[in-house]
Amino acid sequence: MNENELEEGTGGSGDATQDGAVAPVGETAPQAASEAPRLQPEFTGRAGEYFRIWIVNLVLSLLTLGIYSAWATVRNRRYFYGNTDLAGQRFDFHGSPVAILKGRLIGAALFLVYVFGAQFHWAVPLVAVVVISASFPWMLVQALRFRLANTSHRGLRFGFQGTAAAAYRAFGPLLLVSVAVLVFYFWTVGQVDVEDPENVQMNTMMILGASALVFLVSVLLMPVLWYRIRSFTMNHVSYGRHLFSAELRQGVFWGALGAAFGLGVAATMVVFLVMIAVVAVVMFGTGAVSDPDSMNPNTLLITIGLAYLLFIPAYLLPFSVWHCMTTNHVISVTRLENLGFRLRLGMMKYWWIMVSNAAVAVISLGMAIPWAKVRMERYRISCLEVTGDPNVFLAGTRRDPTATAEELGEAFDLDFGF
Amino acid sequence: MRGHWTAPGASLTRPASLRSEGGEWVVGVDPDPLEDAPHGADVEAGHSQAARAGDAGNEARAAADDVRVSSRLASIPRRLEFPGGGCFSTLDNDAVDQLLGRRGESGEASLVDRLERRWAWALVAVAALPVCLWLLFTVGLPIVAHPLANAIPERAVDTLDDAVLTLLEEQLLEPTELSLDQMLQAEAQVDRLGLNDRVDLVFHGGGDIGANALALPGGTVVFTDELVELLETDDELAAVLAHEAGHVAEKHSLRNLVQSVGAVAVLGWIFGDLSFVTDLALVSVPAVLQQLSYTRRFEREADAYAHRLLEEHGIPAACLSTALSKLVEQARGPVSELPSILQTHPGLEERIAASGDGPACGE
Repeated sequence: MNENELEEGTGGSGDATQDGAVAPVGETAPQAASEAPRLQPEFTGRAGEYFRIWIVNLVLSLLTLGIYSAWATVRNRRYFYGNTDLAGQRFDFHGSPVAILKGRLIGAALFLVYVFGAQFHWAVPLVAVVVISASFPWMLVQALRFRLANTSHRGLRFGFQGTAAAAYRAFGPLLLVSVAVLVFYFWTVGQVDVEDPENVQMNTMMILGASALVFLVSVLLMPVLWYRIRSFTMNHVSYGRHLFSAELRQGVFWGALGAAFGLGVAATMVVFLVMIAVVAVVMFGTGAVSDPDSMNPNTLLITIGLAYLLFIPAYLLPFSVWHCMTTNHVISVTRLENLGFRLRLGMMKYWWIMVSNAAVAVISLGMAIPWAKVRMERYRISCLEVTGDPNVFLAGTRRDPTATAEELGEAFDLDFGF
Repeated sequence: MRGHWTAPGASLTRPASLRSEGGEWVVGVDPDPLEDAPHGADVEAGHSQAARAGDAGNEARAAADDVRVSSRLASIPRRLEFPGGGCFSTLDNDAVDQLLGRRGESGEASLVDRLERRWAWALVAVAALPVCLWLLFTVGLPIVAHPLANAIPERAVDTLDDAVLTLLEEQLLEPTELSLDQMLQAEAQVDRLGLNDRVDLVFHGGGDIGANALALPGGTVVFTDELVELLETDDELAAVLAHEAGHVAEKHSLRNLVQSVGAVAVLGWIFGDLSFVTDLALVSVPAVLQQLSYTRRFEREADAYAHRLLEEHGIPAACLSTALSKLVEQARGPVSELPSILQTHPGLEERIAASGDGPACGE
């Protein structure tokens, strides 16, 4: 063990006498953290091993018409948690399949109502968007509570201490603005009669204007909304009786947006040039330039189709930039008592893994998905660094334990991809 | 066996070993090499408080039956939870299984673990996956779709008809320019086939879709002007009407909706959470192909329904083939060049062959 590297003389008090109170354990000053031991978390999962788990559970889920999928989810998660090593100890997932099944049934019911409702009335998708946005803070809290309360490390449970009310206070108004913008957009488009020959120009302008406005507002809302959401979630995660803290800076989110936007535009332009070049080469090569009629229309179609594939990596680039820059920041300013964290995802590396994973998954008809997931997880965990001593945390809940238990009884996993 | 002991109530985790003594399991915690080492006040306070909170001595013991053992999964560590809240974790899965010996592992988890551990079973699963999907899509979903489509109340379906028709009138169809005689001629076929209470025939200019007939789920059948002009004879009009009545009677549009949504949901759940690229290639495209195979199947069903209905009323089944040939003839374009897997309708030859060897149309 590297605990003897610990040399601390400053800050903090050993005066932890109030029993049951939040322990001021390891209240180290930040400068001491630089001398704290560095821990390199590691993902020990192996593609072959995970492939067997994935495929067996997949087929079992299909054979049971989806019922087993909740148990399959638990095994998948246990595999990933149980292979994530921090300071020689693995994480654990304790979620009950029944809770997951409950959440899944609710999700499936809502999905069916939405799909069929949309056939019968045009307003159903709009109402659904409003309802989903309105309940998003509540769903987020539910999901985090379930997920974290069922995660443990070194025998201590994580937890989520945020309430739905606090979530609504933190980012409810912003959500309201987003929804209002969306409703405005649908309303405008609904008002315009596209076929009306007298006002074609006017109407096109209106729709374009509304679209541009909606796009602009949603893009400008994104950094603020994301900053608020991640601030709220990171500052309410608990481990044993200790609370994580993270002082996020909104500027980083704006920077990430700018970088993602700039690189996205640049990548799209490059792809366009490549596309034009490829089409030109094909047209010259087949002699279609001098004699357009000799051109087989299929040749052109196939060429354009292949060139279009290049857009996929170009689209993934801004996503990767945004994800890496914001996540690196969020994790790197997070602290847990004496523990400090540093995440260094490389956005080009991350992008390359996403692109190649997708390509290999498609070429293998999905059979390489387990390999792709393990590969990505290994990379992500390898970019994380933890400093401090993980041995000094205490169990206990920050709230009335009976209340927590009750909530857990009602809790269900809301894991349907938001 | 070697592992780590986490004392109850704290994250303090120390190397330890576990042994079986009679009916008891005993954990012996290794002596802490840091005990005498000088270290900072904070850490010491943390450690000592952690130790106090956990009341961790150097040994913990419990009756074997009271220890909760997590189920085996690949090579992740096993958790042996002691009644007091302490936990012994170890990577030595085989030793834990040996220790459990007589108690054995519980139910489904150990069965699944045995399947997951062998490549042979994984290969069986790989082979079973396409079979399962095929069965689900061709047998399972259609079975589910039937009662679901029937469960949708008639009034809702009628509303749907109105909504769809309004939409079609706005976007696609034009007002009819047929003469009253032409309309009456087509209307007469509804009577002739005894479909009065099931089919509601309406006429519209076809616009971009030209000669065509559409069946909406509630029983509204649209004939385009071009279709009525193209087909001319009573028998051919009756044949096309019978085909569309087949779509209505078999509730094809509702079943198509249920089955297609089902296919997307299943594929999305299996392949869908990696990125939008895999979503597109492994979910959307196969789902569309699957949906096309459903529509081809529905066309065959509607053809078969039409053949029966026509023959019941003394009209040669071949009239449907004649009408279809005319339609295909005038619609010949880039679409008919597509491979059959991308077609919404089965090939003409197949449909003509399906009408059997009865009398020719017009005899």
